[in-house]
Amino acid sequence: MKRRTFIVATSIFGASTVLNSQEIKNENTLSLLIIDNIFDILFPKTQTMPSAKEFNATSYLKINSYHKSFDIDDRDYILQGALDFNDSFPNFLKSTQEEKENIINRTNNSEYGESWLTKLVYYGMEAMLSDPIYGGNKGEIGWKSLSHQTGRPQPKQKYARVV
Amino acid sequence: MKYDICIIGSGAGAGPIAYELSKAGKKVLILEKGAVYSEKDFSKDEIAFVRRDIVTPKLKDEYHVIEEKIDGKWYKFPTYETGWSFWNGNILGGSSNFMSGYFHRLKPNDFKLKTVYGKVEGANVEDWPISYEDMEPYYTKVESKVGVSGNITKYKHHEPRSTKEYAYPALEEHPIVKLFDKSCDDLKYTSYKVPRAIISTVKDKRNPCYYSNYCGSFPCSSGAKGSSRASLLVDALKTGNLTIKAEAFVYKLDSSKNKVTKAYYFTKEGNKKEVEAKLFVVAAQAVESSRLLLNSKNDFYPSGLANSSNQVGKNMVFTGGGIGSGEFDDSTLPKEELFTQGLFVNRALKDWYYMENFKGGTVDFLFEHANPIRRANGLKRDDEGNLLFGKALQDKLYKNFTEKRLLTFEVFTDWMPNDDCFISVDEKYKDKYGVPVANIRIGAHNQDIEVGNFLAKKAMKVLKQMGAKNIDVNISPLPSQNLQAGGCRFGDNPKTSVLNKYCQSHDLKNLFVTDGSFMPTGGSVPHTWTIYANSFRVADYIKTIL
Repeated sequence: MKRRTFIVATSIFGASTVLNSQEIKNENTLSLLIIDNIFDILFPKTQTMPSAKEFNATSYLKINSYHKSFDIDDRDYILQGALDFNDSFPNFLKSTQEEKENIINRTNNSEYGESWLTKLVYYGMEAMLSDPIYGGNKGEIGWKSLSHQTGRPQPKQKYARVV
Repeated sequence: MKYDICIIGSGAGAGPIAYELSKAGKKVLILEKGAVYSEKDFSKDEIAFVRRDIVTPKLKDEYHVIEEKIDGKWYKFPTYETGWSFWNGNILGGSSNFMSGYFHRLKPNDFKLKTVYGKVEGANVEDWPISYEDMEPYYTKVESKVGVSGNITKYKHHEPRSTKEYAYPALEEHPIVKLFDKSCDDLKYTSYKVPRAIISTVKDKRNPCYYSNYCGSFPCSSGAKGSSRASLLVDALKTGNLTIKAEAFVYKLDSSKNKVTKAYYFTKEGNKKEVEAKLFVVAAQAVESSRLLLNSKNDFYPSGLANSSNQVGKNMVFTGGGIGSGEFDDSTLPKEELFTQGLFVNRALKDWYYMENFKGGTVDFLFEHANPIRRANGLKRDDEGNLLFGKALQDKLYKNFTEKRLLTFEVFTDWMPNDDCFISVDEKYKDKYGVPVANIRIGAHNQDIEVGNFLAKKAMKVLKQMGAKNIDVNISPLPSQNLQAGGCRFGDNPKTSVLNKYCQSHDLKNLFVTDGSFMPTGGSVPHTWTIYANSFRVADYIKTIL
């Protein structure tokens, strides 16, 4: 399958591949590594809000995207999108914070890129604001930051499994 | 075993039949497509109950096809492509588990709109074959059996009642209600106190509302919400006369010329089973009920079961209108009051329920649902529609969650039944079982939009008077996927209606349809109270013939 590109013009960051096969065991690992770095840009730590790392965004996605209720098209799209992103911006992982933000801005300006980032923003929000039982929102950090009072009772089982 | 009654579905149209007939000593079987849950299984888990297909089928497996008109031509869109799900709860008790429980009775003229307003061009409005007086005792019964709480509001369109008060005291109200009431007073509008199908005090083993702050879209963990499961089926099971077969998808009914003989269903494992009963009640929610009858065609009824009139699936009604909102911050109400969680608004505008020349409607007010993922997702774009990320996104989330509350309103117009709003099936679109899915043509009448805009202006005036900022509205011709009715109209004429006034098939005397399918018009309010009441009414009739 011909991979799509996130940019119309050739990347200004060159074509050298940053990661080799020894560093990356498989494509999903590479995808998740890229997604982890992108989550940092999408959800940075601010004076009032936690960072994606603090609410376990990547881990949440990794854990939950293989549950049968997860939209398999979304999962494939997110993972494949990360590989396409890597093709378009092979130096992303070794770029500075400012360069990374610039790349995400450029990605957001292409139709495919915007669509892919929208999925990541959505699932990042799930990680930030779902019940901690799912692996995100560590210590309820997302809820606490937004002064959100969750409903009771909280789930004792994931995915409303009948007990 | 041959049951006395086999009911397909377990929601608001099914519960009263099961409750009344099992208590009358009849052997009742419910075939429910979903699983059995109880209060102890319910939590305020947004992922499970709102974001994922846990209590509804995966759309790739089971879907609907929406027919929309674009540039004068009808196009079909399978819902697995759009994500617009028309499933509302495949679970014991059906969608009543997830309702907000804004309960409104119909009013006397709602039963005779054609007589009152005459024929509306392009619409198929018909009078009902029964009157408000026929239904009133059953509305009252729902108040006590299902549980309705609130305070009566006296105003010019108030419907007659046989009791002075609702069965349960009003739920506790949010401080913003005082501002709402004052603003209505200033505008000379009536602030209508909305009764809720949520009990405020203990009823048998059901606990009262505990103000969880997660109500609409979530199942109730205390049993306060008047779902069919909590309010009726739990008691019906105690009779020993009710059997529930869960995860049983009924795909076909068989019949002779004069009566239904069997129901065929798939088990969870995909095995085909069949069951016999003396009498069958279809209550699978309106879209699915029409689909089942249309898919049950046989030599006697080649156009679909009980469809000698060719009216099955026709004249679907939803609720028309749209939604709007206004933002509130501490400039209108002290922050600690504004951010009080869990308490209800329970207010509506109904002064324009009937207009001189057209049927008006209702506007319900409520705080934006609390579930935070849905709320955050709605904030991910800027005013130009660009995706936000980084500090801009984080700051917007923080500001919206911690500084503002959104008071929303929902407009309910009387959906005009018309020739472009119906259910059909065909061989092209089938679910994972190989059963044709329902095609839903969703054509709306222009009057729905006009009335929607008319009512929205009144609602926006109230929000403005209250001091709301960024008031927004979206009136749309699109139907409410969770409020479905019509498709098997009741009426006195077998040539123009599917059911008689007892919701009994004109063709097959042991077949009844008791979800919202029977309704020729929807009465500009959510349908649920009327569906419950009608099902109790039909139950009384079934007792006389079985």
